[in-house]
Amino acid sequence: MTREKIEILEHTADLAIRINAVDAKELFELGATAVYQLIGEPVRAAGESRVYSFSLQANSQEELLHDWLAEALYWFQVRQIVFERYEFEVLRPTHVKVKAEGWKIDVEKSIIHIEIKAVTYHNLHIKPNEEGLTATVIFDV
Amino acid sequence: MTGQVWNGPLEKIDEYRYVIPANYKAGMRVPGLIYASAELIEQIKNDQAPEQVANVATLPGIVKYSMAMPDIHWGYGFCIGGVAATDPEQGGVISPGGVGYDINCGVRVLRTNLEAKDIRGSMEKLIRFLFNSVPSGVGKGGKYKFGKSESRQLLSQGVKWVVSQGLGVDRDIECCEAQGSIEGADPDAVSNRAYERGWDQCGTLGSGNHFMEVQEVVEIFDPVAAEIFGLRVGQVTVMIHSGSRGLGYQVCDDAIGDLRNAPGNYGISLPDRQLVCAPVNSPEGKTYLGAMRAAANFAWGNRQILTHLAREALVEFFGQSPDDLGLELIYDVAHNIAKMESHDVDGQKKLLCVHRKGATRAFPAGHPELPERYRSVGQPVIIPGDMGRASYILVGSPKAMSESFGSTCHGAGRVLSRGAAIRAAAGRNIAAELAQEGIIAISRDRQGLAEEQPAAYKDVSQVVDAVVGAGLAMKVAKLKPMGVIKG
Repeated sequence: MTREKIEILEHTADLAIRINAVDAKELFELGATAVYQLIGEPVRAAGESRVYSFSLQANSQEELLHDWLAEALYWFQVRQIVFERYEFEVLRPTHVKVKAEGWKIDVEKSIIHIEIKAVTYHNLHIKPNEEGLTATVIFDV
Repeated sequence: MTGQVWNGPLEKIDEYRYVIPANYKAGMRVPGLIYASAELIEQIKNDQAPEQVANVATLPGIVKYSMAMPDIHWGYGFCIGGVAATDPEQGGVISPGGVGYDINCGVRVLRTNLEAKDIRGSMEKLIRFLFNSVPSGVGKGGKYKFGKSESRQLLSQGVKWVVSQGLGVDRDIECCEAQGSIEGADPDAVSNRAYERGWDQCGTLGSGNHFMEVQEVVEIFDPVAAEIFGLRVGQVTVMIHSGSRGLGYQVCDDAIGDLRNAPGNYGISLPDRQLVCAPVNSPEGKTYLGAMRAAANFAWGNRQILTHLAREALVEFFGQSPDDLGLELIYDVAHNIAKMESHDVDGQKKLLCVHRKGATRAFPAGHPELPERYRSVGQPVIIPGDMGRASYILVGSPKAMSESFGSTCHGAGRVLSRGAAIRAAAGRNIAAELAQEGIIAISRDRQGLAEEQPAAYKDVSQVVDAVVGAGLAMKVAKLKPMGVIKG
């Protein structure tokens, strides 16, 4: 049975997702995509994409995933930027350095369903399995 | 992830108290205490919230009990509906998870001179007018945008600064918990990202369960307190529920990140990473306290500007002066906050760090922190329900002071996940269903109303009956929604 790459799970007050990825690179890429899908349907504004560089360090791979998703959330909600292509210069369990190509959202045309307050650490797990990695993340909404 | 029934031990103490014994799991320093009726406790066991009550009982310096109110439901780290007091002299900690992401999410209620029967016919127009006057919904910026210098004053002074800008009256300051400005706020402890997320959001409702509601007083339980609060049957009230918006979310997220290593550094073992904490008196603890207080002041400022916008809209809609409309703030309470408060512990006065996450302060008559106008009866306690049933105004009780660190419940509490609520609304028109009940509800999108439909919540009357039965508050008035704008 083929698993969905991004699954929405039930949680009483908040939103939870499970990401099924073949490796860490796909996990991080899918994670950002999941954030965008949860928030709504962003529409691209006129103009060229730009490349943004950033680097994150954490104590563990779970914390790094948290920080990565929080970064995607910040760029979306505050800077109105959606990333879609990534060049990972470093991707270790506790360090990611990336060049991310992103485009500006047309706020008026985009459909926004929910406001994500934050990526939580509650029940945050990354587990290896036969098909790669599975991560569970809960968002406070 | 819901549906995981909790099967741990619960000892029934009396009709409204259930204890999780301290030997239930390793590391518990005190027992858990859940306030609930027999009916509500069965709902409460349907998720893992009681396990979170037990987890909180492991925090260093926790005093008496890890408590939960009848509106408890599963949160992240701490349950929502939880109360935990820690003693800094005994290594007591402060935990951002014990406050929540929406720092000083809270609620206020205004009285009016309007009669419900006189405005019922124009409710649809009134709610539409309010909806167009008050920014709400995801990502909506407000009419007021504050630069860094103004934001710092707002974060330092809360409602006092907003009123000094002409957006309120002195009574508004007096009628807020902590006078709408908690001391010790440190704007320098707030990150640039938090300022960025909040700069245009002061004076916006936000989304989710935040709302502005026009209500009718349908029942008075305590005529003396009701008269002092300025309430009578048939009167129109306006209730506002919102918090610290993106600024508060970022302050909490920053703090949880900054405190990642604190438990290890201070030898604290935690059952859940989301309970990350630091001793109240540590540098890390003090930094979070300063930032959290600044975000709390932002939230009070937010609700004050929302009040100003509501007053402007009502004055214009009805063509009457503010004095004629009588738009007076009854009270404003925080229900996601940690505060240093003096409480009796085993006959001794102690300065404790009281975390209320989804719980409301409920100080009794005579408490020195209450405004003079309410000191003879006690603090107004505002309990919002869902948009179809009711909300309540209670008053604080001496028993809350002696038993629950002056705390009671904060609302109805969710029973359906957002997904389940949306599925339950499939093929239905929630706005039309509410209209059948005489309630006008407007949201930015249909999904918002589906997620917030009455069936997604416990019956607030049951929750209130449980806290009143336990002696944690007394009923003053019941309010019924007439119209609501949701974020």
